[in-house]
Amino acid sequence: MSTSTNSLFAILATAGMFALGACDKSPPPAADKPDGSVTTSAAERAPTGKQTVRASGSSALQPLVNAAKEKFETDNRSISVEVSAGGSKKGLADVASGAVHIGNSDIFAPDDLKATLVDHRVAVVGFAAMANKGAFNEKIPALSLDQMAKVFSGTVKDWKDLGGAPQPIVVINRAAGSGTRTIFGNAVLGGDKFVEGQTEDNSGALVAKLKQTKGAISYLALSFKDDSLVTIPVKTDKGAVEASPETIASGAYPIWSYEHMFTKGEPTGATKQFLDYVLSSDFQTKVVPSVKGFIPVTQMKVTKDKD
Amino acid sequence: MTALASARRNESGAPEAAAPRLRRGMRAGRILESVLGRLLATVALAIAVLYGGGLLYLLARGGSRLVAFTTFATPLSDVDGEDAMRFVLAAGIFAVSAWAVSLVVRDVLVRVRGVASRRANRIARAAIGVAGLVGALAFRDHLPRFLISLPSETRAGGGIGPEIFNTLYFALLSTMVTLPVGVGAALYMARFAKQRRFVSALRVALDTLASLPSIVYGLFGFLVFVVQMKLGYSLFAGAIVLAILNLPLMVGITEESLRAVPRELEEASLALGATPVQTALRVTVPYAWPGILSALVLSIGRVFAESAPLIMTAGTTISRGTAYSLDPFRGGETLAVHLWYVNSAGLAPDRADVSAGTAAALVVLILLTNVLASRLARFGGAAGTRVRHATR
Amino acid sequence: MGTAVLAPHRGPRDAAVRLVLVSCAALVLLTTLAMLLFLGQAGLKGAREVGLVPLLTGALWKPEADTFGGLPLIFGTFVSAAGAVLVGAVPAVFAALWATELAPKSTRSLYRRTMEVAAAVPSVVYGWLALVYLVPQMEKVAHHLRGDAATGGEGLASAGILLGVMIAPTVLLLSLDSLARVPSALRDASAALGASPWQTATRVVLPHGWRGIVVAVFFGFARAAGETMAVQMVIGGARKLPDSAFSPTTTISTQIVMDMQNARPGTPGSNVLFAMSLVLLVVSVVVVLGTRWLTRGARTT
Repeated sequence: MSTSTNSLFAILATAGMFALGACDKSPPPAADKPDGSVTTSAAERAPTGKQTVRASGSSALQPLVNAAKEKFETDNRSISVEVSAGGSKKGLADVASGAVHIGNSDIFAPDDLKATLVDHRVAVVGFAAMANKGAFNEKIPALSLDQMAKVFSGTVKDWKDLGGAPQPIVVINRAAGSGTRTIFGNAVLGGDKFVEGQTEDNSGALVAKLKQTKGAISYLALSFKDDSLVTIPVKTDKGAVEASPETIASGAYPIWSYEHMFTKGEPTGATKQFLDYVLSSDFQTKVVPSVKGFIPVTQMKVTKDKD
Repeated sequence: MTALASARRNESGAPEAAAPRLRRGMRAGRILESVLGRLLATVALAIAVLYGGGLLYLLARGGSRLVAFTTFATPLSDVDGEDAMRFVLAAGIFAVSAWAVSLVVRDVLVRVRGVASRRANRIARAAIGVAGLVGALAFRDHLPRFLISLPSETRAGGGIGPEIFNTLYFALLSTMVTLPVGVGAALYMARFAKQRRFVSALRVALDTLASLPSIVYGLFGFLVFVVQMKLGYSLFAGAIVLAILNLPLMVGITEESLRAVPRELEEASLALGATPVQTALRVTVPYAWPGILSALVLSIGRVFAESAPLIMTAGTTISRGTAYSLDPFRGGETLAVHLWYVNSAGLAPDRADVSAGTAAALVVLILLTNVLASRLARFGGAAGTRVRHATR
Repeated sequence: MGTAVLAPHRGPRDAAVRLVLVSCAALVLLTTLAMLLFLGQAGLKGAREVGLVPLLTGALWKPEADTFGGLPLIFGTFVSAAGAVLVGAVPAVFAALWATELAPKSTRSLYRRTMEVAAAVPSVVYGWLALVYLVPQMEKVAHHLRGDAATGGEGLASAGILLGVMIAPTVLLLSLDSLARVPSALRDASAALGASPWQTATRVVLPHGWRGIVVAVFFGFARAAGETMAVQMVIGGARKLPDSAFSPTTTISTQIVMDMQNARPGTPGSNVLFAMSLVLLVVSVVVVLGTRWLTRGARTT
């Protein structure tokens, strides 16, 4: 009795799902290969015996690496690239321990790893403070680095102290391993001196949280810029500077970093092929500018050698 | 005078001289009891409705993606092993559905006809096989897209095909370790152990393993396999860790099943001249086999549900080249890991739908596992009703 | 009869099989020892590097600044687990009592089956449901209670409720088992004496089976304390002591998962995570010893 009840439950659930699902009448997705080729038959597909390139680390760099991976894998069918996130520090730790071949990072390698890791700079990305859009801050045109420092260190706790309406500031941090956190902290606070608060590491969820929580503020790479949030320009002596490829390239906008792909020693084999592709002028001039928020390294008029 | 006697007296209309105080006391007590009883019943039913309703809601919310068979055929997308995977998945879906239907039909027949007929069983089995084959051949290119596509980190439309494969593959790999070691250790403890201290130490060890948080298993696996043995993230490391995780469950239930084997059978075997080992292998274990199988199915259910140990040993990635590969030294994520990853690091815009679909897929797998376990447990004698003993 | 001796003989194959069986058992023991050894070694190193007292009582956890004060973690773990016991284990025990003693027989097995399925659902599914449905509601409650100072729905309240919902089925099933183990002879005797089902339940069954129920609750506590992924989704991840039930904080397992990815094996940052996992290990060992002590009468070994 109970078994058939159980089975009945299972069948009811399945039947219910079928009733809800109906048929998917949509045509198959268009082939997303850039060269427009349609399906390949079994005979044309690459032989097994694939090489794998593993990469992990920065979530800011991830959209760019994924774009590279998709095109690279299509052209090199015998190489597969595995990319995961986890934060710049994880990327560094993983590549140093040998768990992955490439460590994606927004930050330079720390001193104790400088000797073993080889740095490949693949792009430049800017970072900005982004806040919940509301009546309390619509009159604030820009914030100076000093003001941002006070907000993120917890000294200033209310939007009214910045020129807006009274509303408590809710600081949402990135996780400890995030390169964005390090870069932003160095540029604004002179180190990781953030006030301890809620941590949200998923950039997508962070954007959602910033939209919902009144008075919230956080820091993100410009690849995640969203129009329903306020991207706060930086107030310098020359006036308010908005983050854009031009201001970053000229150095007027101060918060930016290189995107590094680290390897342990010089890259070889499939890893080298992948890196060569990412650093190729074809990729750098055509693809990098097309992915939101990224700037080719060659466009930069200012440089730096540490964060 | 007992309450019972006085109650009988009252019913038969006997004088109520001594009864009133008792009766009032009983009535008051009864009201309080019924109130409290009803309170407990509300709590219990509320719990059942909460969980049952929640599960049904999960299936409804995410289930549409799991059963949206497509009218247009989906072309193969250049991933090794994808055609085999589609075939097997389609066969599996239709065979399992046919099996579920046959269960109900068989139970109805038993109730109508009174006895389970062998012919009905054979027909049912054949029907399941045919359904699987027909489903596989006819529908393998029309499977719901969600079930056969690769996941996408940044774009909408990602699926859970490789995750389903990895989940099932993990079940296979870890079972290959858990079953022999678990049954061997349980058999030793139940029938061949000589020193009580060794057995006692074993029990403490198993209890400890059972109550360790799963994150600790993940740390161990990370330290030993990923770092020290330099394997990187691999299914192998995850499978070993899951096998250790399932040992207490396996050993516990197997031991109970083995102990529940009637002594007479074993003594009869010994009396016929078999050695203790032959008795154990040819009499005890076969008798306890349904219990062992149900332990196996429960441990498979546990494999489906774990995520923390796997994040640290098998990683969180899927790549085109190894999506459906049988190589155990590559990394890969399972359904549970995918659900977590999509919500904590994923950037795809349809995250909510992908999560719902993944959760629904997990619930379907769990339901199947439970139905299978309960059907096996029916045969298992003592093991059947006390299957929960070692479950944590 | 004059036939050969009926004593069991042992051939060489028997010895081989026995060896295999003993090695399986030994493997189990060795694996447990290996786990405890590896973790203990790394953890003790971490505790020594940071100092046991600062590790357990320091209030700031900031690996970037080489500060490892584990008090927020320990506090978060214990409070969320205690909340889970209140929210989940207590109703579960009541429900188990009802299901065993007071429920009509026909519903008992259906009830049990539903709870078995609920217990087998992965914890990440509960975590995801909490993230999508519980946290927004908690945010409304937080706003109601704290006004503008509210930071959102993540925090100990959400974690406690989530963990309670997660452990309730398991505690319920374990309690059902231990109540079922009470000999029905006792129940029959009690009914024969004229006791109502309620009286039987409270005065006969419960006093006999309370140990098993306490064991069930202990296991629920241990499971809630050790739960990782689901808690990480709803607790907020702020590495400080919370100033309300609705402010973000962290637990031991959450912090281990979040920091482990970045920490390099061998560094103090990594060892100290193993040290914190030893705290969880201590909780498990206490639970195991406690249950063994409680069930000392009824065991065979």
